[in-house]
Amino acid sequence: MNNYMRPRPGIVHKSLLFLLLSSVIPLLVLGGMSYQVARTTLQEQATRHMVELVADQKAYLELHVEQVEGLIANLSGVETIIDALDDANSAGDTYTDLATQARIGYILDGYSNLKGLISIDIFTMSGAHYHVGDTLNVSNIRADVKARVFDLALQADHRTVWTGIEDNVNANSSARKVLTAARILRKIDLHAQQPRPIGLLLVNYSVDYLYDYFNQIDLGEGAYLMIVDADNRVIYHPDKRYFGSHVSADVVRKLTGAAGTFTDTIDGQAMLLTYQRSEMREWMVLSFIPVATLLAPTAAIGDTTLLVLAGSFSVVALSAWWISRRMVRPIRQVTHHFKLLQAGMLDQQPRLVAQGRDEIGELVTWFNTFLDNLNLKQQTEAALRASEERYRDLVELSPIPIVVHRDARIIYCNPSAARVLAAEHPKNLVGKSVLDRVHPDDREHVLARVHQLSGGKNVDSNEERFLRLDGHVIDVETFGIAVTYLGEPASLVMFQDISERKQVDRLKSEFVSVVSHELRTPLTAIRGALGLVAGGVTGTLPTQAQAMIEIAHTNSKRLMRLINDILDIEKIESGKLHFDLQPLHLMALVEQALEANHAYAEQFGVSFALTQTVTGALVYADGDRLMQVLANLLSNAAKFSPRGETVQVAVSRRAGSIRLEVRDHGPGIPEAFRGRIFQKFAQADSSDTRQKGGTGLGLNITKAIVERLDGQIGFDTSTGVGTTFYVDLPEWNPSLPIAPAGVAAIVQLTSLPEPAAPS
Amino acid sequence: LIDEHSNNANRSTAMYDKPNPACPPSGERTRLKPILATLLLLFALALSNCGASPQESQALLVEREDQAAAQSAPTGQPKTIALVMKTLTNPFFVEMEKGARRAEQEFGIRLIVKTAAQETSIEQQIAIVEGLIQAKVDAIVIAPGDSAGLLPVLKQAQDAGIVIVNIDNRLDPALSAKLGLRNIPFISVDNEQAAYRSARFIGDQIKAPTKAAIIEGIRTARNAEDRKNGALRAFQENEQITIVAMETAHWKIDEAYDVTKQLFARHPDIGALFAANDMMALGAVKYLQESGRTNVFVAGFDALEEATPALRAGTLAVTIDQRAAEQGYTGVQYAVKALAGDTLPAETMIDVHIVSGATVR
Repeated sequence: MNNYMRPRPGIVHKSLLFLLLSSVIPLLVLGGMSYQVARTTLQEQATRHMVELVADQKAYLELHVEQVEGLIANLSGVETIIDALDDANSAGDTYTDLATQARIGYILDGYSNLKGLISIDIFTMSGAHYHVGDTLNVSNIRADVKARVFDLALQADHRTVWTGIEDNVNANSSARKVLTAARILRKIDLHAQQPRPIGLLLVNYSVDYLYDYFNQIDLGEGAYLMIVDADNRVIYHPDKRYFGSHVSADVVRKLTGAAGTFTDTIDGQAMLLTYQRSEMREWMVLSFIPVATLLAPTAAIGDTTLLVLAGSFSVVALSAWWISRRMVRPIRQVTHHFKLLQAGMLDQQPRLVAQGRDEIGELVTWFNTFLDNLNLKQQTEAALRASEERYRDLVELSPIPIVVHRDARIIYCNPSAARVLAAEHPKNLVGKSVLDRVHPDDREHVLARVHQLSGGKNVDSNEERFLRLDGHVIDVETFGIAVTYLGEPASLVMFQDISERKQVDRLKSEFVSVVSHELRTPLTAIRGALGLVAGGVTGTLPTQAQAMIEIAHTNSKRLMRLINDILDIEKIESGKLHFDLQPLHLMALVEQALEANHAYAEQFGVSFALTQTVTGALVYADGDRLMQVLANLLSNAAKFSPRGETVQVAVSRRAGSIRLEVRDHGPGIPEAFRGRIFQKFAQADSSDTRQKGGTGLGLNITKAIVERLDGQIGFDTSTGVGTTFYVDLPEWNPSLPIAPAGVAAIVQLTSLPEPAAPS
Repeated sequence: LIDEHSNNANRSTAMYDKPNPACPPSGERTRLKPILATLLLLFALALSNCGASPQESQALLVEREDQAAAQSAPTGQPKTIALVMKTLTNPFFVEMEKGARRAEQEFGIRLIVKTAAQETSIEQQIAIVEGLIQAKVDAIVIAPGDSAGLLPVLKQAQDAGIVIVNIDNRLDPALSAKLGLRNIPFISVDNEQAAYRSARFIGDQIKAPTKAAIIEGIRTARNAEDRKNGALRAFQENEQITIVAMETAHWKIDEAYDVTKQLFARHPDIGALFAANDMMALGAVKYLQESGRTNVFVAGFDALEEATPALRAGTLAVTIDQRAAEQGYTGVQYAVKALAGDTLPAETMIDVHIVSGATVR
C-alpha cells in the first residue's frame, strides 16, 4: 500500500490537456483571430465607407451652397432690381412702393423656384423691404439679425457671405432656423465712379430641406450624420432640436484639419467619428457610427465563439467527468485490486462491476475473469505443489540413484545417487559434467546416449562403468528417459550399482569351469576304468558284480555328459564357444550320425530310417557342433519312441535352405511343456527324466548352436502320434565367398571344444 | 465497492500529499478546478483583448443652448395644410395669410403658404398645386386665379385624397361638377353685392349726368365678373350715370395706371371709376393725381392698408373690406374640420364692411 501513489499526470489531466490543446485552445485562437480580423476589416471598411459617404454629402452640400451663391450672384446683377431699388430710395409714395414691390416681387419670384429656398429678401438702405418666400407677411423683422447679417455682408465686400445657421430674419416665417446667405447690392455712382451700397440681398435656405435629404441616409443602428457651420453650430442633426446648438468644445478640439477619422466616446457611447470640412464655407460634415453597431457582426463571431467555447468547456467538463468515472475509476480499481493481489490481501474480494461494453468494460470483465482463473490456477497449483512434493519426496527418498542432467550437465542428483557416487552431498555433483563420472573407456558410448537423450529419445538399459568421486570404478546399469525438468527438456538417468552382481557372475562362471574341469579329469579316469572292467579286461566278473559295474559305468558316462553340457552352456552363455566353420556335405554327416547313434537307439529297441535324401546338399557349419545337434535330436527321438518303432530321418531342400527332419512316434510333447522346451534344465516330467535320463540341457544347447549357424529349429507335435523336430540351415552356395576366417577367430577360446560324444 | 474505493483513493491521496504539506489534500473534482480556472482566465483574456479602448472623452456632442426650442418641438406629425394664393404683390393676400397663420396657431396644424407671382400666373398656381400633391399635403386652401383653369389639377388633388377648400374666387360650379370635383366648400364674400355697395357709394353722390368706367379684374375669374356685375348694377340704378368703358387691368396696379391713362385719353370727362380691387384703384388714383384731376370719384375693393392715405385724402372715395384675414382663417378652419370628417356648408359668405374716408381708421 505504501507505493499506492496516484500516477501524475493522470489520464483525466492528460485528456483535458489533449482536449484543450487539440480543440479548445485552437478554437479560442481561431475565434479570437476571426474576431480581431473581422473587427479590423469592418472598421477599415466602415471608415473607408464613411469617408466616401461624408465626402459625397459634403459634395452635395457644396452643390446646394453653390446653387444659392449662383442665385445671389445672378440676382445682384439684375439691372432692373438695382434700378428699381435706386428709384424706390428716391421716391416715397404708395403707388411707387406698391409698384416697385410688385416689380421686384415678380423678378424675385422668378428666382424662388430653387428647392429648399425659404425666402429671398432685399433690404434697402432706406428701410424698404422686398420679399418672396414662405410667407407674405413680413411685418415682423428681426432687426438684430438683419443688422448682424448686414455687417457681415459689408465686411465680406463683394462676396457672398454665409452666416451659417441663423434665426430667420422674418420672424413670421415658420422656418425658425435657416441658413442665411447675404450680399450687399451696389450701384455704380455716376458721380463718384464708386460702387455704392444700396441694399442687402438676403437668401434664407431651409435646414428642413437639408434635413429631409440627409435624414434619408441610413447609416445603421445608432449612427447618424451631422453638419455644422463655421461657428460649429449644428446645421443638420437627426434631432431637429439640436439645430443651431453649438457642438461641444471638447469634440471641436479634436476636429483638426480638413478631414479625419477617430474613435471617441460621444454621449457616453464609443463612436467612430469621420469628418470632412468643406473648403468653401468651412462647414463640416460629420458621421457618427457607434463602434457597437460597427462591430455588431463581429459580436456574432464573438458570441458564437463564446457559445462554442462554453460548449467546448461543457464537453471538456463532461469528458473529464466521464473519463474520471468510466475510465479512470475502473482502471484505478483494477490497479488497486492488483496491488491488493500483489500484497496477497485480495481475499474473497467481490468482483468489480463492469460498466459499458467498451475497452474499459472489457478490461474489468477480463480482470474479473483473470481473478477467477487465478483462483482456479492457485487451487491447481496447490494441488500440483502437493503432488510435486510427493514426487520429490519419492525421488529424494528413492533408493534408486537418480540424476537429471541437461546436455550432460548435472542439474539434479538425489541422495542415493550421491551415495553411490561417493559424494558427501548431492550438491557436490550438481553443475558437474556427467562424463566426469564415466569411465574413460565408456565415455564415447555414453556421449552417444547423452545425445540421443538430448534429442528427446529414451535409451534402453545399458551397462557402463562409472568413476566414483573416490576414484573407484563401479559397474552400473543405466536407464535414460527424456523428461521436462523445471520447464525445460532434460534427461533423467536412473542407474544401479551392479558391481556385486557382476562379481558373483564371474565367481559362478569360474566356479563352474573349475569344478567341471576338476570333476571331469577324475571322472574320465573312472569311466575309463569302469569301461575296461565292464568289458572284461580284468576277467569275467561274477554276474552280480558285472551288473553293478555296468550301472557304475553307465552313470559315470551320464555324469560325464552332464558336465560337458554344463560346460557347453557356460561357454555358450559367455560367448566362448568356438565354431570351426566350413562347407560340409550334409548327407554324409547325417549318415555318420545315424551310424554313431545306432547303438544308442538299440538300447530302446528303436531303429533309424533315412526316408528322404538330398544330393549335393552343402551347409557352412562346424562339423562337430552339427553332429552334436544331430546326436541330440536322434537320441531324444530314440529315447521317447516306443520299443520296436522306427525313427524316420528326412533331408529335403527348401528355398535357399536345407531341412532336416527327425520324426518319432512317441507320446508327443505335453502341451504345458511346449513353451519352455528349449529352456535350460527343461524336462516334461521329472520322473520321466529319471526314467529317460538326460541332463535337460540338450535342446537348449542345440537351439543355441543352430542359431549360431544362422539356422532355425522348431517342432511339430501331436499327443499320442509323435513329434517331428526340424532344423533349417542355409544351403551353402559355393559361388558365394566364404565368410572371413577372422569372424570366428575373434571369439576367444577359453576351453577346448569338446567333440560330440556318441553315447 | 465504490465507497470503499473512494475511501481508498482519499487515503492514498493523503499519503501522497504527506511529503508536501503546502498542498492540501484534495479530491479529483477539486483538482480539476485550477485547470478550469486557468481556462476561464484564458477565455477572459481572449475576450478582453478583443476590445479596443477608445480615446476618453465624456463630453456631450452638442451643448443644448436652445432649450426652449428643444421643448417646443412638436409632438407627433401635425396635419399639413397649404394656402395657395394668387399673388405676392397684393397686400390683400398678406392679410389673408395672417388669418390663416392665426388658424395655424389655433389648430396646431402646419401651414404652407404658396403664392403665385402675379394674378395672371395661372400656370404657376397649377404648378404649385402639383407640387403640393407631390408633397402629400393633407389639405389645400386655394384662392384660384382662374375659375376654370385650376379645376383639372384640383381634381387630381382631390383624387389624391387631399381636402380642397375654395376661398376668395369661386371655382366654376358647373365645370367642377362636370369634372367630378365634389364637396368643395367655398368661402368668400358676396362679390357682386360688395361691388354693388362700393359702386353705389359713389353712385349715390352723383347727381348730374356723369360718364363712368369700370376697371375689371381677370375676366375668367368669377369674382372679377361678379364685381363688374355688382358695379354695373349700381351704376345702372343711377340714371345720371353712363357707362362708357369697361376694361381689365388684371388686378394689377401698374396696369391699372396704364389703362386709366388710356381711358381718359379716350374719355377725358369720366367722372366715376370703379376698380375691382384696391391695387387697380391705386393705379388709377396715381394717374388722376399725375394728371391733376380731382373731380373723379374712384371706388375700390379690398380696403388695403396702403389705400388708407388715399382714402384720407379723398382721392379714393370708398373701398370694401372683405376681411381677407377672416377668409384665410375660415379656409384653414374648414380644412381642419374637413380633415376631421365634419360636413361643411357648401358656401360661406363673409360679411364685408364699407370703408370710406369718413370711416377709415
